[in-house]
Amino acid sequence: MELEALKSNAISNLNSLMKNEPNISTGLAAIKTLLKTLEISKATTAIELDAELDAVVSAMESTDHSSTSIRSASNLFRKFISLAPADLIDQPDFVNILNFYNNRGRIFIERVARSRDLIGKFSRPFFAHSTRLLTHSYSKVVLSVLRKAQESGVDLEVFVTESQPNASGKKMHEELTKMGINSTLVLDSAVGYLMERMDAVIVGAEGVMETGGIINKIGTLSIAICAKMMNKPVYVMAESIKFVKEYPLNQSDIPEEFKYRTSVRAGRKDLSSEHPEVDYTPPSFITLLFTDLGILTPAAVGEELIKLYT
Amino acid sequence: MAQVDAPAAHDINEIRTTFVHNLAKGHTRENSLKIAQATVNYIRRIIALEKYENIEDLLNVLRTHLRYSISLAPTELVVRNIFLIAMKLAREENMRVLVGVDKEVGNPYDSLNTLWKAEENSANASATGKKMRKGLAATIKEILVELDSSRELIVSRAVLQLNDTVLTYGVSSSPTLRFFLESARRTIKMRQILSVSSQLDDHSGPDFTSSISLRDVAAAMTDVTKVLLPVSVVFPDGSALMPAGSLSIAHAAARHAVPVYGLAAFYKIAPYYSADAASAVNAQAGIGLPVKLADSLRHRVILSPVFDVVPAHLLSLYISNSGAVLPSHMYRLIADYYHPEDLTEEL
Amino acid sequence: MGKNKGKSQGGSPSANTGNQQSPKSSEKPKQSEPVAAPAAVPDAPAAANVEQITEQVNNLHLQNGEEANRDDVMAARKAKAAAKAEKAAKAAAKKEADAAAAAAKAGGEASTAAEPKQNNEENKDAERGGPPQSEMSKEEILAARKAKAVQQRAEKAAKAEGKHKQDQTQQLGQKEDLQSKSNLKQASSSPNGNEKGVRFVAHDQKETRDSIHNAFKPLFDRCESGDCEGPDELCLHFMECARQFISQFTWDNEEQLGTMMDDSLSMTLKAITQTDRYPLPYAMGNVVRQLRKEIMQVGRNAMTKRHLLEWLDDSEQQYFSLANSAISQHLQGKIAAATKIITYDWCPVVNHVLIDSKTKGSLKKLTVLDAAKNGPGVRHLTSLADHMGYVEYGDLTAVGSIFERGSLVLLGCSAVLSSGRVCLPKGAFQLSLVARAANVPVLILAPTYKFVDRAQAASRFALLGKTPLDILPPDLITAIVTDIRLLPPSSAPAVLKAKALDDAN
Repeated sequence: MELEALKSNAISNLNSLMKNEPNISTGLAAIKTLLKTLEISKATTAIELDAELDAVVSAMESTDHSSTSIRSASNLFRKFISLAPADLIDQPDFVNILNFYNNRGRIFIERVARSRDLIGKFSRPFFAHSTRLLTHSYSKVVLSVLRKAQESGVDLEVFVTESQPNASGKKMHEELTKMGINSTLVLDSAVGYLMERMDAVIVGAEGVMETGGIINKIGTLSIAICAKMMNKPVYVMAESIKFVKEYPLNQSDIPEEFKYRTSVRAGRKDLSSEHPEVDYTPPSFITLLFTDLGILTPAAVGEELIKLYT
Repeated sequence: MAQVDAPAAHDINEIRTTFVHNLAKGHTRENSLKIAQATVNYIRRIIALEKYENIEDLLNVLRTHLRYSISLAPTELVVRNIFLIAMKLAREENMRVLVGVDKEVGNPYDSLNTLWKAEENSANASATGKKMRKGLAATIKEILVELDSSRELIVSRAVLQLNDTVLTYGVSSSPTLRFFLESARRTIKMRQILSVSSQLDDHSGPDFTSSISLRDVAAAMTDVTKVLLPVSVVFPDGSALMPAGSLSIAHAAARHAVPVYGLAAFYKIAPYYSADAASAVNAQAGIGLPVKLADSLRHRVILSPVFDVVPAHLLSLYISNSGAVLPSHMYRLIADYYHPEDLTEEL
Repeated sequence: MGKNKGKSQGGSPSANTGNQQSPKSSEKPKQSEPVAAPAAVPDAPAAANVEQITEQVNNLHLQNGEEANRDDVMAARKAKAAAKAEKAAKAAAKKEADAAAAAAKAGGEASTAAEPKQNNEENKDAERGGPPQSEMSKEEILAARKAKAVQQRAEKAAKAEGKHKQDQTQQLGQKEDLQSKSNLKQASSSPNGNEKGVRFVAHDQKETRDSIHNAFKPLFDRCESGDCEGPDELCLHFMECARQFISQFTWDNEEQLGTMMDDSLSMTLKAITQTDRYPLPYAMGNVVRQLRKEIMQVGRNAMTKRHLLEWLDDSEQQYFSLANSAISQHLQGKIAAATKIITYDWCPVVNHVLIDSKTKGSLKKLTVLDAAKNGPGVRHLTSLADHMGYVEYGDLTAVGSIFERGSLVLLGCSAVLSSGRVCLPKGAFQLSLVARAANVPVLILAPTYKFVDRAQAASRFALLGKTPLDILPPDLITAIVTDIRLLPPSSAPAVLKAKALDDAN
């Protein structure tokens, strides 16, 4: 019973966060929801707490927001729990532990909130005057990076793909134009034609895999292959909370919960005729990843995750 | 020591002027090791002569001197690196004085598992300048030791093998590279060492090398088994700043699947990206065009770049103090020498 | 100096002194036959004379045990002085011979012929004045004179032989000969070491050169001195010489005119290339082959020399001026769309295109690279000097920093092989590699006469052994621009067939 209430609470929290703060990243919203759960938790043992958090996470994943981001952020948050110092865990009074976790959670969130700023700072030297960039679909991180560059006085030319089926690229294009950036909306199919004129490709990511590759809106793989053929660098902007402990071997190996929205999965049994929402771009097509941890090569990502999970 | 006020300031300015003057002299560039050593000595004087009350002061002082040097010699990235190394050591010294020698100074870098650790030293806590000075002087001096030993460490790495045909470039301006080849020759019998000279008839390579000109590299590459290039700076993504002309050598090597090795001592690893050095121009390049053309060609540019930026995917390995490192893993060494808070500052 | 002295030591003592050596005297001159330089031979005897005379004088005293007659001694001294004078004269003659060798190209066989004669005469004088007459037996004197005459006849015969048997003599140190000859031309005051070498060489080159028809001699000289800038200039010069050749050539029998002309031409070519030791550029091979086909037609089917000359004029226009204009036309659109044109080294076809674009105002930025600064590429800049917009110049080390969005690389070539590979000046390979990495298209400008029917070339392919060349594989080439149209490199065989340049024809 309690768990059910907890779940519906979590879902409503998440949804309201996403609605009221349109610029917030899905991962951060998920973490905030988890923190809320911690704050109102009445658990008395670690196992109880675990069960509560499990329930909340599965509830969030049942929404239509990006499963990849929710999964990765939640995993990281929960990992942090297992890193409590030994002497603290042995304490009989669980409330102390809970307070400790709350503190840590707040610090974590504060740190994560700054991550976009940090990414903007790291990527700034890569954009010179009249750099031509190609971007795909709608990404909040990319928007903030471009805004930062624009504010520091760099003149950019941005080409945005439409990104069907939901035309999220249009939204991106509007935002960019509002910011005063010279932006052009292009067809998804025009990417091959335009690639030779570009200086670089920059995309966001819904999740960064252990391989160093990324999961992102469908169409990203084609753009990356095209860029590689023409010797153009591909830069990925992703906060560290998007690092996922998954190792896809190829496109078929992408977990289903990443590929399709929950509602779609729930509705039909046979997904073979369903269009996937995302694709997997292997690390060989990615030049650099800009994260709040710094600028990483795809090889470095795997190591970060190893450091975390071993 | 603290009483030496006005004369100290005067002294340090003179020292600074001399240091920068030597950098921007306009003669043939000194090799990187000498520049690094000069920088360390300059920093030692700063530590000794400048006034500072706490770590923040000290860092500000260092930053001011660094900015001054950068603005006058923007292409000397080694200077920047040494300053940043010194700043990290200063922070560590501060910690040591505060917390004690025994306690291990933790890795200040963010990584996933440290993301949420609370900062243990609050910003206010700091040792006094006086306490830091002595220990710091000793620590900075150690950099000199490390500089000296870095060349030996690199030279001792076994990379070349029996019957190798080695192609190398820029031997005359990189002592490290020359020592490396000489040392290798003593123990390994190589088939041939080809040294690329950028002038058509410049035979300035050491006697144990045969000279070829840059334009012959593509044809000669079919016989080459290893390419050895000197490195000026390594950027975090594994790309490197090398003498101009190296890019075409690296491409030719890639085409024939020949491994390319770069020799990079620790102070050449830059924790930042810089486009400044890539556009450096060689002012001593000599006559480019006949003088009689001077009137007729109005907008003419004689290209004499000093560096080429060679992307990471064309390089196989870096030979550094700590061993042979993949270009994509060079960033890991950054953590050994630099502090993250120094890096996010706008220099 | 020492070498020849040693060789003719065998000859001179037999002429001057020694009872023992007179029977051998007839053999010795033959030894000097294969020695190429007749001028060298008189040298040694003159030098030997002074010492030997001195020796003889001294020996005389001792042999006869008499006290030296005052007159004898006077005569001996006079002889000595005369010999010394001869030596001085010899040195002067040598200098003259050098000058004669230098002037040899002007077609003066007479001077060189005069030189050995002159020396021989002096030799005779020296010998006459040499041995003190009182003591030398008349026999010896006669023997000496005979030996000398035989020697001279042998030398003349050797010279005549040498003219026709140039192949045999060429085996020895050819390269050095050519080197020293070019040294002679380029540095008029050559260090002592060369003097002897030049003399040695002069005779060899003379023989080679002699078998070249006069009309082609300027071409040969130009090749020797390294004065040609590239295959295009060489071909043009060849055609010019061919024109001279055809006009000058006469033969009584009208029908045989073609065949005889062809024979003479082939001999000339053999001499120029030293029987393929220094092959002509491949492209020139095409020109030569076409020419010889036409020549063979002369005398038959009412084809006359006049027709041949007209054909020659037409071909020249077709291969060069018309082809260059066509190529330029194909490229104007592409150049207008490009932000920057990059080229390497010198090529007259590229130059023609650049000048055209400049005139039309479509040339925006130009970058010229050379293997080393102040190289052949500078000629592009001098020809475009006025009102040229933005120009960059550098050497190969700058190749990493010149490529920008919208650049275009134009390169000239020596030859296009049937495999689609292209022969270019060394260094172009690296330029193309970096261009490809920067996504900049690479266009090769090649008039159709440069397409040759060979699939491969040796990797150290050389233009007359002088200029090193790179071979560019098809994957680095975006297109080859010919007078017909733009082609992918894989279409080279089609061009060969279309222009009847393949071996079948």
